[in-house]
Amino acid sequence: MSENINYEEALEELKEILIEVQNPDIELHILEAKMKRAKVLMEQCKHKLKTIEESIN
Amino acid sequence: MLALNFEQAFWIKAEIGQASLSRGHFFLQLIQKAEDSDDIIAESRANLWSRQMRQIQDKTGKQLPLDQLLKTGNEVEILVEVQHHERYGLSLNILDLNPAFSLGQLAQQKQETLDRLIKDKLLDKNKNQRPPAIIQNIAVLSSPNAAGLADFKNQLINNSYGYRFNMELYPVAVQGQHASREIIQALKQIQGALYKPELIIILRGGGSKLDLAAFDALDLCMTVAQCNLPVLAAVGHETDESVLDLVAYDNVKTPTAAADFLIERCILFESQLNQIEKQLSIHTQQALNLRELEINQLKESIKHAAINTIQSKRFLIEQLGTNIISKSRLNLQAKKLQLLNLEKALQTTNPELALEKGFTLTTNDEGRIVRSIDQLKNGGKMVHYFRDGIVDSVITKISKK
Repeated sequence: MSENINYEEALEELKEILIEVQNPDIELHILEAKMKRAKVLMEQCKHKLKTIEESIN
Repeated sequence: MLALNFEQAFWIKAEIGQASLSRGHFFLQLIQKAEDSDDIIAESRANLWSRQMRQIQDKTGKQLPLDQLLKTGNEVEILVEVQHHERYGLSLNILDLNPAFSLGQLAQQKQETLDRLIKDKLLDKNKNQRPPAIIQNIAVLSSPNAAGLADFKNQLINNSYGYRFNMELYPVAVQGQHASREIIQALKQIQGALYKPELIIILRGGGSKLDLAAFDALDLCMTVAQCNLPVLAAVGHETDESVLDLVAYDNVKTPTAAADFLIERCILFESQLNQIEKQLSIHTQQALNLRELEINQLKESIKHAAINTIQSKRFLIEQLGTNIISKSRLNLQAKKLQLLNLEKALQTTNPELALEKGFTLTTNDEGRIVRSIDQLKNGGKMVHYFRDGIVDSVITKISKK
């Protein structure tokens, strides 16, 4: 898991994914790939938040 | 003849027009003035020989300052005898002196000096001088051989606090007929000097109470009042006995007390300094504590704000994740539904379903599904597919619709 993701970029990508997964014409394998990608980004963002939170405490 | 007429000595009151002291003898010029003017209406020489002087002093005590009493302008009550000298002519020999009359004169002079100072608003003038909190440079007007001066120096130099003072001595007479003039001269000299002291001390180491007459002199007291430096009077065993005590910036009883006056100012200043230092330390600590508290509070606030922001970001991202999952699920369900519909559509065209209903599927010799009789010929073979089996048949007749 890359530690050096840009949180805002990841957030933007997740927002794009949210729009894309709502498209009824999306190809299934792309939907699958997007969901996997979303999972990875989510984990990275959460990890980043957790790291910062721990550094504050 | 005259001496015969005035064989007996007699008391007279007269004003001294002029007085001089020579080899222990006083030579006076006695005058009488007109009631309403300064015109001299009578005049006579008078001598006080040293022998008579000693007798008078033995009688009245050593305390009596004859040189203060017998000076120009003073009135005296004296016992005189008339003397005629072949060469010097007529003169009076002073045999005795009424000290009470002279002291009354002195008291009156003192009162006059005081009245004049009050009238001229000079009594408090020198008290308005503002010497620095610490006085270190002083000018001392004193008789250089006085025991009091030694006491003063000793007390000042050997102070147990280690304070250092710079003292300049102006030798003056502090009693007798020259005292007033010498002190005035020294005061003027000091005021004109390039480096001025912060305080002038007029120091007298003791002596009789009556010797203080010099310090009641109007010219001296006026000079002190108008002096542009503060003057400390240390001239008597008890204070406020002379006009100088009243007109000076401050007064003390003894030379030792004069030294203490200087030392105590230093002690006071130092203790104030110590007090300030203590308060400074306390205030600084308080200020630091306050700042520390503020910083800690700020730190906590920042921490909470940051955690809140992180929480809201986490909430946002989790919502986004949940949304993506739910939307994806919806999308998948739509696709599933699509598939199901397709399956249904396909099912409606399934031949097996037709077979169930009693239809059959027929293929020709070539194994193709027969859709038209044109694909068949007489005597040809067909295969019929039923729901539950297959039938081979031979074509015997073909008739068109």
